[in-house]
Amino acid sequence: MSLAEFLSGIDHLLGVGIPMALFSILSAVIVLLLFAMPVGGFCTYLERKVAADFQERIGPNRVGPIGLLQFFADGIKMFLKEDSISKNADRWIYNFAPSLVMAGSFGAFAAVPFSAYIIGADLDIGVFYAMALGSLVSLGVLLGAWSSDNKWSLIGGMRGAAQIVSYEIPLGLSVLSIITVCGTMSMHQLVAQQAWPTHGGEGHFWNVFHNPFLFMNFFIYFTAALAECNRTPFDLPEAESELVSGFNTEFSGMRFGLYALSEFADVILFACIATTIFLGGWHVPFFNLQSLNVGLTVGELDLNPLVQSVLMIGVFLFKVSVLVFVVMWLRWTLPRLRVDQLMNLCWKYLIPIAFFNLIGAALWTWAFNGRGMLQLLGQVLGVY
Amino acid sequence: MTLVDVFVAFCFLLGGVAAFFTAFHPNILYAAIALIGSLVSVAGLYGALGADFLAAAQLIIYVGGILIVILFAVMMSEDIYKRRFFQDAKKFVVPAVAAAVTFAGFAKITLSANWSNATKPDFEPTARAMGWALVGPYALVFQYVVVVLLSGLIGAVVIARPAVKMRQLDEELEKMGED
Amino acid sequence: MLQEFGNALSFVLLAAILPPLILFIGKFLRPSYPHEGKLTTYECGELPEGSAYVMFNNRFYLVAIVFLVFDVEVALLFPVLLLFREAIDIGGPVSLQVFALAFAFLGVLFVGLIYEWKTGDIDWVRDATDRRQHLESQEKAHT
Repeated sequence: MSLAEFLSGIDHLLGVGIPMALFSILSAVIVLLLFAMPVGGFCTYLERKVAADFQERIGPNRVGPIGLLQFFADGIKMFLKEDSISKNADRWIYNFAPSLVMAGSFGAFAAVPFSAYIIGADLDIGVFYAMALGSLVSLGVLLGAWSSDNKWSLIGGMRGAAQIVSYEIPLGLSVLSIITVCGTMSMHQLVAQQAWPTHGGEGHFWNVFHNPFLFMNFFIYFTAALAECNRTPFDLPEAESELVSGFNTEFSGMRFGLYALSEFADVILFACIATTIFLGGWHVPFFNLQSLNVGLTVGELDLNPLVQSVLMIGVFLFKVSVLVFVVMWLRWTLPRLRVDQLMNLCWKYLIPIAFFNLIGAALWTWAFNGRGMLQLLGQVLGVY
Repeated sequence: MTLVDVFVAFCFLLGGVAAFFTAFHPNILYAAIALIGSLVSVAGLYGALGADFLAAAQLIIYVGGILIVILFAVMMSEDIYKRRFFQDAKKFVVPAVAAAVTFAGFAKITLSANWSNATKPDFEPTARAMGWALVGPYALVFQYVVVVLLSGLIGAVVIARPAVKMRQLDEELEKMGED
Repeated sequence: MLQEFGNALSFVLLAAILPPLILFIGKFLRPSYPHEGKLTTYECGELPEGSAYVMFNNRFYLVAIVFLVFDVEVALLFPVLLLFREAIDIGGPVSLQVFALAFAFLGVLFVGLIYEWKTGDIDWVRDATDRRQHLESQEKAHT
């Protein structure tokens, strides 16, 4: 069930009769303006705070308690900054590029299942849709860099585009192995399959524990996702120590803010997708949240889905924030790669390993009829 | 008129305008960028016809792949940005004839088709049906595609291989050293 | 399904409209003091030396082409491998058929990748590799 339908259910109870198209837009507004943008902004604060903790500094601590409102102050500051565009810049493309990047990273949030009842668009091709929109980001980075007629930008943009497109291959192959094992592309069904195995033997628990090949592929996905988001150790497109600020050097004020925001949105998006397809979405061990029944009703309205949704969103966001923290942690742990090392890692390590894992996962699925390690263990121990 | 009709009309408009710019813009980079609109509008039309997988594949292959290659080619060619194309009318003749012939062909197909049998799209998931078609009736085509891809892969790197100038240079230097 | 398409479309449209919208609203609030110095291209405080539009390393182009081939491959494999679970449930020759077709497809391109690996075409610094191989072969010839 998509968020728009969820909302229209409430509307149905009240009997107002608002057209569905408005609910589609409303669901987009809720997910993007109330989730993706504030959380993306919050990540800019978190990044500095995590960095400070790793270097035994204090970090932002003036705006609000322990600096929690820092991102808000930054947002206002960027919003009010003068917008200076260098006179050599190619105005048309310069204005158009941030839209492409935003459409790529924010638009894909439609496929993120926050709970069993809340998903932007329950598409049959969910994962593929997210990957397809992700390919707009490389275009936006390349065009934005090129339009500013700056050498730093151009080098950064070329690197960025080449890196993002290269790492799309291992990313795609590791997603393919999930598709092979689960037999569906719908995000909603992918999560539903990852329930804790019940007495009927339904559900194979998190995909990452399905078989050893998927376990390996999780790390390939994570590595490729780091490169897709231009995060350390793959931050060559914006290597501060050599390229000033990389592909967004010439972008000032709010324009830079949009690039930074969509970059953090990209990190969150990849963490969301990794959580959904590898780490079981909102599923927890030993218990199926969807079978929870608190028995709360208001008149005829059953409050169960609402209570479940709150718990599911909590679990989902917890997993996502752990992944985002690891991404920030890596920034202060690993040095930057060289371009040739970057390409070697992609073509000579990640892609062959992902190939091997894909074949392994297919053979495992065939041999054990789609059952995961946990289910097999349960069978051996006679739990079912 | 439903929202879908509005969307289809928008796609046609976007595709038409973008195609016009692609064909006639004197700056080759803008022509390449106008291609984005054209390709995205085709993806939109696929979506409006209920072909969800095809729409996403259009984005992933054409916008995320081919367009990047085209942009790289334009950006890596020196001075191509400042040069203006289509300054003389002679260059228009052959493409115009080719376009007219193609258009006539499509028009003939469109007019000769029996549109009374056409139904509205039913918006069912298409990916699975496509998969069965690829392993069933079109299995040979599916395997043929990989041969084409392989030849493209090998052809590209063989053409892009640098002439062994560096090695020759080394040899010459060594010879000079020996002398 | 149509409803879901509409939902996805509204996400993409909203995301694409946000940047111009934010910049447009900001236009009424932010100052504008253009100055010759501010409008030059940033090059570490120096005056910019020529244009940035110069010939670029064509390795990037090669990466893009090789990517394109593998991109098409991954996109085509999605609908086929999607069937694998279903084919196993049907069993016997059908699952073999899907497995064989999908992995023949993968395998052929993997052979292509191995070929490029062996010839050194996917190495980033082709010239350096060439030179190193040349030196190694010379060393062998000497010993």
